[in-house]
Amino acid sequence: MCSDKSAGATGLPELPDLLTLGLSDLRALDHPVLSEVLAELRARVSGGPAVTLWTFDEFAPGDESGGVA
Amino acid sequence: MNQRISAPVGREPDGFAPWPLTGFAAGAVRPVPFDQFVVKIHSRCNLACRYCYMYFAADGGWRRQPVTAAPRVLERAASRIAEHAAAHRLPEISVVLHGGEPLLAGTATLAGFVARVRELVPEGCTVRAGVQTNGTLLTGERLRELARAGIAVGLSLDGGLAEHNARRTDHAGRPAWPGIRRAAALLAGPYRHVYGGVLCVVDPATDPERVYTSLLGLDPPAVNFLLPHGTWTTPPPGLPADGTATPYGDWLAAVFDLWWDAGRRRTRVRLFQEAIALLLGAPAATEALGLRPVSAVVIETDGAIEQLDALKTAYEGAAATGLDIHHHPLDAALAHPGIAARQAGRAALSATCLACPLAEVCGGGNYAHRYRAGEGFRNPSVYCADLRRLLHHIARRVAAAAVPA
Repeated sequence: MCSDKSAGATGLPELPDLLTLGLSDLRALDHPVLSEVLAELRARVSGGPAVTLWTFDEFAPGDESGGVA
Repeated sequence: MNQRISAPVGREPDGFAPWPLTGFAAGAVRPVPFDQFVVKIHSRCNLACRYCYMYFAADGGWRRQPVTAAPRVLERAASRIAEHAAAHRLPEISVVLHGGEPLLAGTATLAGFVARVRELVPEGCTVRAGVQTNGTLLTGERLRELARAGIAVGLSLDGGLAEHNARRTDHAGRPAWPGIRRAAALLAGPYRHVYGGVLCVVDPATDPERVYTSLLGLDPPAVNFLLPHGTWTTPPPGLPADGTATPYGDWLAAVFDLWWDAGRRRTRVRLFQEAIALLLGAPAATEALGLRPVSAVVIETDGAIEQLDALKTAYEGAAATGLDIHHHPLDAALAHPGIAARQAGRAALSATCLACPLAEVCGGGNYAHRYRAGEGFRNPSVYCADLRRLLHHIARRVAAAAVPA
């Protein structure tokens, strides 16, 4: 996968294709962490109030707030 | 600042302009307005962590910066931010107070600047404000002032125990941990409503379970794990040159499993959540992964407009744009090749990355980590193998949870 200009580790199994899973199809899940993450992802793609996504990483938080409004 | 670097490098050869300063058609990139403004309100730090990328890395520009941003610089910065917000009709912006250690400027200065930005932006533009601090100067009174000013607080530390923060010392060599622990307790308790979360740099020499568990003990609402800044020319510590091991990927995968298998989400972990978003094809925002245009810009203590700090680990002047708020609107920076390259998506990726099945998820990793002296930034990440290891691991765990046995 990566050229001789990369680290070049090999031996990983095939990558599961998660793009075939729809966010709405994953609604009935019995995995509490994934369920919470999916609820936030649905908010990102829904037609509800816009959620601004901030790219700068050298500022905590890990949620979608860019700070206090 | 709690980033680690291996060793400093010097300047690129005179007259050489690495990619994207040459060889990249910045004009072909449709600019995305800045909506996140990192303001270096104080250029020095009260700690002297030897691994800090700000003070012990390739770029020694901090020495030429004034210690603190002068009132006229802050007024002009607020004005330029508001000008940019108005020009692009931004409904929401983020102002991140950074440094050095921004609390050295005093909470009154921080509060005054944020208030001024809120005063100047157009009606209907929400200003989200935050400060990223090492925590040693936080007291109850200062937190009250920050909370009154509507400023969230992000805490930088290397783990939740004294042993993890042994290298975070002041200029006299005294450990910073007692002050950090006090700050973490105040934030998790009476000031939780302004607690943004914790930034923790990965050290593969530590026990990931011990680090993660100790961080949970500080009860943060969110954690982000950052890879230490390094490049192909100055590799991160502990990373084998031949890619036969993936210490950072292994460390993060171990933490992911602890987070994933906990039975409930104990805290938000930004890196993991954005990875899941990208693997599922949902919108994501992080410098570490994905192809989302980076829409953050830095305003230095002297008013210089700069690219994000991580570039300073590449070479002297790598973050510079040649622009400043006294003479230029922030819009002028959108045309800079370095800014444009980070908004170009796939067009900025190396051929190697473009051929990778993880291109849309990994996105080449953090831009600064792609640097190689004499070439520039059009390479895979120096962390390529580690990112692949982690993303494969997360994908398998998500797939298993999504398709019950």
